[in-house]
Amino acid sequence: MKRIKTGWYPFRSVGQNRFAFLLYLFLSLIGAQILFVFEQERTMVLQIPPSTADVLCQATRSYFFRTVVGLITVYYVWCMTKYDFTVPFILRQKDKRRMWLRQSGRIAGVCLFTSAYAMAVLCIEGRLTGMDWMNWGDVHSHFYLATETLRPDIPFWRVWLLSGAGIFLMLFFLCMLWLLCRWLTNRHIVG
Amino acid sequence: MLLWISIDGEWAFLFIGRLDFTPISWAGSVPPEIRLLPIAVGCLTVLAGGLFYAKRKDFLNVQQR
Repeated sequence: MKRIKTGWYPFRSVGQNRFAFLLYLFLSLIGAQILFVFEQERTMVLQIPPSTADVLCQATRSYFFRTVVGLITVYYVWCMTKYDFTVPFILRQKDKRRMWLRQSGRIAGVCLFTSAYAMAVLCIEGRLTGMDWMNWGDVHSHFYLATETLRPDIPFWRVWLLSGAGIFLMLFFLCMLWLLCRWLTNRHIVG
Repeated sequence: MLLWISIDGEWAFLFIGRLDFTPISWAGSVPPEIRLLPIAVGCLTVLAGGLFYAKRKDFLNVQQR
């Protein structure tokens, strides 16, 4: 007889998709690692190490990073919601709108975790690549090379928060669009 | 997949605006936080659209596999 798994739903869902969760963590890390190698290469060319804020700005620009992190997040969301359109699951729901909101909440949780995880990895890599958290008030910085202006007034937490919010909203928008397509067509368009 | 590549690539400018926070965007007088507004509105629109559609969704016609 199959054992019925108990526990709080998000953790139970992670437990049921262990392989997908590990793949998701691994590939997110790979996306950040590739950015790290790119930043190292830039440091060798420019002879100026980037600050952590420069690495965060680069992450929001990097197409490859967004693609790797985005695709693996959509894949993980697909694994989490694969039983959500089966008869037993639908029969257990009290309300269809509540079902939609519940799925949206789970997606928001996954996207929040992904953005926090990516920002933590990027901050560690930014510290390993460069010397400071923030050097936009220094003439010897990537920021000055790119803009020829100095902005010592911008705090690091603002750059961190904005980059994290950008990654979160991008992932949330795409995962929600995928979920909406699934509701509208009853098929997996992505995946 | 095609949907993802289209939105994450250059077409993103048409749908959800620019999401890259380059140093140049920080150097200007306009705060770069404004760039998050279009995608935030997009998220709320998709959420509200799904909520509106969920009420009318008919699961009886869905073919179960």
